[in-house]
Amino acid sequence: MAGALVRGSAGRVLLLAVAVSLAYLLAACALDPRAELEARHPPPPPSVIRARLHELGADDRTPLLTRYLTWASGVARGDFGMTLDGTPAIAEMRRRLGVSLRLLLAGVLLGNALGAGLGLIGASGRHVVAGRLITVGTFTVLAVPVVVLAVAAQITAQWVDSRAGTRLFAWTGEYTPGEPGGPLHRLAERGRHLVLPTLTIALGQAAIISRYLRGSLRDTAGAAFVRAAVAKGLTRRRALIRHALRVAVVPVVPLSAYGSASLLGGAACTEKVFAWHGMGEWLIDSIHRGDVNAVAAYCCFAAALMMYAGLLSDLAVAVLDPRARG
Amino acid sequence: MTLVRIVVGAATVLIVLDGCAGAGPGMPSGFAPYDIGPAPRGAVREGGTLRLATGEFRTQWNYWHLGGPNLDAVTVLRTTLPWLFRSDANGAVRPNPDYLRRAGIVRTTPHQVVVYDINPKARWSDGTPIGYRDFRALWKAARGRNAAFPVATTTGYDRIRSVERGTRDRQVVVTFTRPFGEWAELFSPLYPAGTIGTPEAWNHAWLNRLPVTAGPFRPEHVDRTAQAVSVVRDPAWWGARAKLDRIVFRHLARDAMPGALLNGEIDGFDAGPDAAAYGRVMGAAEVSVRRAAGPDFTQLTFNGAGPILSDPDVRRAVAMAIDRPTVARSALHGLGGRMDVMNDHVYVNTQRGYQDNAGRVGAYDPAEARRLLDRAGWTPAGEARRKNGRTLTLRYVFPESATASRQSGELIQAMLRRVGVNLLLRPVPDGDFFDRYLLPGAYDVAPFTWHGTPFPIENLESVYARPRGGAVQQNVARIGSARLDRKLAQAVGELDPVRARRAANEADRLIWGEVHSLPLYQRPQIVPVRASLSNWGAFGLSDPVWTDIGFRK
Repeated sequence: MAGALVRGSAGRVLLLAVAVSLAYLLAACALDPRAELEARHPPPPPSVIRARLHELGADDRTPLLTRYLTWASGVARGDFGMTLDGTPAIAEMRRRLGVSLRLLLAGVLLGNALGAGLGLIGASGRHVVAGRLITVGTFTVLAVPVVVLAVAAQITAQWVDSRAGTRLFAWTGEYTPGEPGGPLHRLAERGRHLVLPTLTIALGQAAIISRYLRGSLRDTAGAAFVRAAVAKGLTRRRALIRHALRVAVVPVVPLSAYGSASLLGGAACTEKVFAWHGMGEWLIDSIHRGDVNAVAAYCCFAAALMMYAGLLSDLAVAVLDPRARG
Repeated sequence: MTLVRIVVGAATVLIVLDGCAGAGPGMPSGFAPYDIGPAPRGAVREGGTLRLATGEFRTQWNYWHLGGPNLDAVTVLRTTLPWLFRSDANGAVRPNPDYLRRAGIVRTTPHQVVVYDINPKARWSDGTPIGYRDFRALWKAARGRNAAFPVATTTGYDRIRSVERGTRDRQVVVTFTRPFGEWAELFSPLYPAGTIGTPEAWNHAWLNRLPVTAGPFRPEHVDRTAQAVSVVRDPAWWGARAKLDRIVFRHLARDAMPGALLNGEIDGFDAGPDAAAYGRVMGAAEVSVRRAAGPDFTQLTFNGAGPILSDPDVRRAVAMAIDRPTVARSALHGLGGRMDVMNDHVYVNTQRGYQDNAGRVGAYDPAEARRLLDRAGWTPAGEARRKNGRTLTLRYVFPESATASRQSGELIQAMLRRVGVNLLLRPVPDGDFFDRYLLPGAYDVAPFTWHGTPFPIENLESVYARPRGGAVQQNVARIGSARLDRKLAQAVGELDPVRARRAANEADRLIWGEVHSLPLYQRPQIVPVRASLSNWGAFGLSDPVWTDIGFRK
């Protein structure tokens, strides 16, 4: 098992290098940092534009291979180049990663727990009405775009506030910038700002997990070992939780791992509607601006994250799945 | 206060006249040039925090730097740095007395000489008086001679011969090599010489901070995580005391702005022509929507180097086949107002100098369009006209995320079909629109918006003068004439404002004559604000008076 993991890791690192290189090449071909500068009115002097692009390593008159090698040798030293703003890409990424983590941590944990719970209830088959409601609810959440979900949450919160006669919720950013107050007040402010985005993220995550877990549990519930457990006198519910769940969860773990990881970079809509300046917004804005170094840095991060998520899910599966031990 | 009243009075007159002109009942009224909830200083409460949303956040706060703010992050600089002139709602500029005692042209021959007398109270926050050295440092960097200064523009500065000390440090004498009519635009904002004088300072002194300022507010905190900048009232300010204690500028995604205002987390934002945002805040408690005709205008540029539109008669026919009032009405639908057709490429309708120069090209006349096409040899053949085996098909290229451009395109497509012109709608990636389609000329017709300012003449040459030496600059239409070039140069160099406006309008008549592009409509400014906010909102062409802004008592 350990050998397989090591072999897997070596393959993964290679895969990472390939993915990252392709990402840079794609970004360098598709994005055009010159466009924004030339479209300005009044137009900046051409010599200034040339110098600027050269400084960023994004001059489209330098051969692509040369640009790639310059960039790759920088990355090997931990230097991801400058963004169009003139900030080191790695510093901006670190700041935004912190924002994304703070935005998503609670939502992802809550979403996974909620999804597991709903999946169990749905699969147990004992609560028919609840099961139906969960099915309808999860499909609705999956079908509705995140922006709509977020705005619906805002409108609901507004209604609650108007009923309560006071402002309970805040939903713009992580906190209120420029507002004085002690550390305790600040913590409370952050909490108040977190409620709606957390709910939005948790609902989306829970809907996916619960659907998969329910299906997987249903499949396992028919298996011989579960029927044997019931025959030996266990209630169906106990048999499901003690025997079936452990097996049923195996295919859901990679889904949850990859899903949570992709949220870290792909929650752009949530970030934009709630005005958090995280990774997802960074990617979208950087693509719009034609910021090659920022997009490439983001892709490096996303590739590494996916690698870790895969590793983590392999480990979890190895622990959970009796067949993987040997 | 007089200024505000006169302007508001003018706005009322405008609307009343429009009403007389036969706008039927239920027709939305025209936009005022200016709508800011005016209140005399006495009626504005002392103190309070104003929270505004901005659409961009910058790390470089040197305005003149290539990476400096070029959208609404500039408002942060407007509260903290010297802007020497102030514009009113019609785009007329006067010296700002907080910084200038006097400023004007003292000589025109052999060279234009402008003398600035700086207000003796004006000081930088580090105690240094504002003086000729600051002017000189900006000129030396921005004139574009030294490539070590990455500058956003050299317009105007490249015409200056010298910046000298007058009779004292506070008097600045600027001598031009070639005359420059819109000299009042130069040196705003002004920066302290020490923070921009060397390439090192130019690039780094204003990164993530505003080290030295001279305005009614001074910076308090730049928060890069929340992408917010807060400024507080500066006790060292020599002018009228600011009503507000603090202003917080927050960068929010456009999608987040309406929700933030509705939940009381910001006090105002510019919704642009976004009908969805407008709809969401309309009618909300304690929110009022301020609306004015903005400085920007949307137009349709023709590619004069294209295989079909190189014939001016075909361009004229296309222009006359487009019912512009209908296009404008559709684009502005849901914004609760109506825009008049724009018949000037230089000045927007609400701007001093605006003149109807369109002539017959500006009239909607499909019959004449058909006749012109017949004469040009395009004969009707089924759906679209043909000539020498070629079908009359034009590519309408627009950025894919611009829904208004798509809607206008669909309308124009239907209008052109009636005269036998086939319009192909071609959405392209936003980032490629200018660089990969307009600049190389891979289009026939393209809609986009020009940003307007109170200084519309100085950049006309880059858009309408003939391309020189293979560089089209921003004349992506590739249309021009020697006569127009001379007229444009005359307008830019004309020092008498009245004659300059006349020359600009004469140039505009030539632009209409060659059918370079077709102005569609002046864009409105839709600014939802907290209803108690006074002296802030949709400013049109005018500059805010930051010391008067505040909340009603």
